[in-house]
Amino acid sequence: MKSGIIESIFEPLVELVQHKAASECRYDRLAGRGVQTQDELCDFEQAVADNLSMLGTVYGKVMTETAKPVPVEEYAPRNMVRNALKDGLKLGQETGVNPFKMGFIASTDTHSATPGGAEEDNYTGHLGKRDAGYRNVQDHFFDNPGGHAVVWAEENSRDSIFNALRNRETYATSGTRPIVRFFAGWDFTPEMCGSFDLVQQGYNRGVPMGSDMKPRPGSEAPTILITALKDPGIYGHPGTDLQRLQVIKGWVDENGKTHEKVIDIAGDPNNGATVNKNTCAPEGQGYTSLCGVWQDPEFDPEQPAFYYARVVENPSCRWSTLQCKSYGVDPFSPQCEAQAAEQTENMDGMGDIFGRCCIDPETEPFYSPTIQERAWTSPVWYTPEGKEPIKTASTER
Amino acid sequence: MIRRIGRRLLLSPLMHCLWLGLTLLWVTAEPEPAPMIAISEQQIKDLQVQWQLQTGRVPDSQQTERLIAVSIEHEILFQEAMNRRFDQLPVVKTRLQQLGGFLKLTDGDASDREREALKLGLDQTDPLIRRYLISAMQEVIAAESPVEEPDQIALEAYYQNHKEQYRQPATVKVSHVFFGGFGQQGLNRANGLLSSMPASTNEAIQSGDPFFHGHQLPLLNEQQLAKKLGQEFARQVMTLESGQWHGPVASSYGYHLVMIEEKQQGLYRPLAEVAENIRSLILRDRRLSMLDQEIEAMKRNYIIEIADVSLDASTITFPDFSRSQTL
Repeated sequence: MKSGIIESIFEPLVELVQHKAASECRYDRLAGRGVQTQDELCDFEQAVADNLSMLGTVYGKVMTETAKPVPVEEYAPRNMVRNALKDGLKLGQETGVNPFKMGFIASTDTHSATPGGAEEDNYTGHLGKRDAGYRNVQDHFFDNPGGHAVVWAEENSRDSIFNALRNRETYATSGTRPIVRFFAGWDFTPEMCGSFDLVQQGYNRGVPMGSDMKPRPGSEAPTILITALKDPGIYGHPGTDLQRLQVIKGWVDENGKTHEKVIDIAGDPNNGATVNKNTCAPEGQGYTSLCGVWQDPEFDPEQPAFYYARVVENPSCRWSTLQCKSYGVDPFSPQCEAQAAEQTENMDGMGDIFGRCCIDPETEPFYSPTIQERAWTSPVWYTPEGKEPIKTASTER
Repeated sequence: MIRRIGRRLLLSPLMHCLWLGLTLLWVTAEPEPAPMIAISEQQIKDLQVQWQLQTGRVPDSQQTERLIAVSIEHEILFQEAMNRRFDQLPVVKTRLQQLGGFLKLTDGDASDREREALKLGLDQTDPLIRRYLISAMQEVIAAESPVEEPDQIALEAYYQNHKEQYRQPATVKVSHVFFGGFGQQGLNRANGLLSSMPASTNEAIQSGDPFFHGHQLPLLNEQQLAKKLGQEFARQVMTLESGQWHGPVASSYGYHLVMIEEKQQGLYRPLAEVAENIRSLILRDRRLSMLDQEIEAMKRNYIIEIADVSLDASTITFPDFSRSQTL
């Protein structure tokens, strides 16, 4: 069996986000460039190193050399899923088989017996009792609560859900619960956003997230429809408004060079939304729902490509900001360092406890006290005519 | 002649010796001493420390008493299991062979490793073997003293006593017209439509904005409704009367006009549906109390000595392992 066929049958999905870090893409703010990307939203929940050594932080001190930051130039590109997807197109072009056709899910991978506990405001840490209390901000500052795997299944049964997983009709979130639909077709129009049977039309006229596009009927360019509802919120914690919808396209040209592009298709990247520095309540304009239809203006039918959606929320406070504040250390305050020293003293623990609360994001390549939570749908793939898209196990059933 | 031989046998010195010997044996022989279980002060402290490490709380004297009682129970079960030669169980042999391997006691084969492990007395001290024997003994007791199946009366009694556990929340079937956003315009449109609702639900829905996550929802309880449209919306909708349009009701997304198509009160699942579940719960409870009774009976054969110390743990300094370097 050709290698690659095996991967795509047995690896239909990849964990895009989990509590140790996010793996979509990587952009270093300080260096002003990323790992095969210029996408500035890719500074999201990154570890400075490319391994798990940061987990070995004890009493606030990183204990090993291998946890040192890895510069952008030395960072292995395929550690980031978007680059692997692009490479998959290239390998498909060369060998006829794309081994990296992966849909997206997200998880926590915490060991605290709190499944689904991916909210920023009740993060219990990596490892149960050992990480309770201030240990999170001391030793696991660069972790995050994790994300969710969301599956569009026909019914709430085991078979149906696993079928949907195999079909990649899934999306990943960074921990919040927006509701997202994505379809790709050849004749979508913006009017679809106003139609009452949008979902039905999506399935009839196109394909959902995670699929191969239907064969090109004429000389059209791909049209993408994305619609999203914000996280409805629960128990006195309202969800955060949406900021924008994006399409992310990756493709490979005739010379085997891969490319990517990020396009805003709905919402407003410059809505100036922010958080209240005292209460962390969201401030500014946002959207409870968004819908957009986009046609690829640079489509080249000879070039294999993928498209996926990224739904970006307005800014909200990171879990570390909330926990630091609860201990009386305010990352937004000019007195932060003094507060950190005082509270560390009060705790009577070992080592520096709250110092990291006061890290200045201007001096950091990735960390920030506010984040923009997001969701990513599984990609759809376009394969030029004459090249068979690789079958997945689900279609063989 | 036979009578004479018999009489001579009876009066022979050999027989006299035998009778005398047996009589002496009967008079002087001591019964086997009752086995003893002793819980020392150090053991009590160890139990308290272990509990604190596991739960992060200091055990009070009541909890400590329970820990001691459980420890004694386990020791009794262990000794009973040893008496019945459960150390010959295949799982114990395998474990001894494993231990022989881990400790590199010999270069020989499996039975050599087992023998070396036995020489070190690992069958008595290994915590896993101890656990195997204890649970094997519990199984044997359960098998030897089966419990009665609960009859219909017992099932009914349990059901009545635990009725709240079988409560299912109220559900509603909702159709809604959606007006996106929270501006005055949306509110006006909603109120305008409410004053002149079309006859058909479909027409009503089409008079508002599209909501791709569904306009005609199935029967959902309050929590399920909250996951779709927000908690405030769900709370309000559960209070509405069916058969007429209400609103505008605010959700996380905008304003809605709401029609309750169907309401189902919270109900108790009928006994027929949960009888199987109740049956296994009753059996489990009966098995546990039967096990307790059997162990109490076994206890009477043992001499149990517990160190006479205060069970108050508040003065103990507990070791602080919260700063270990484990990941």
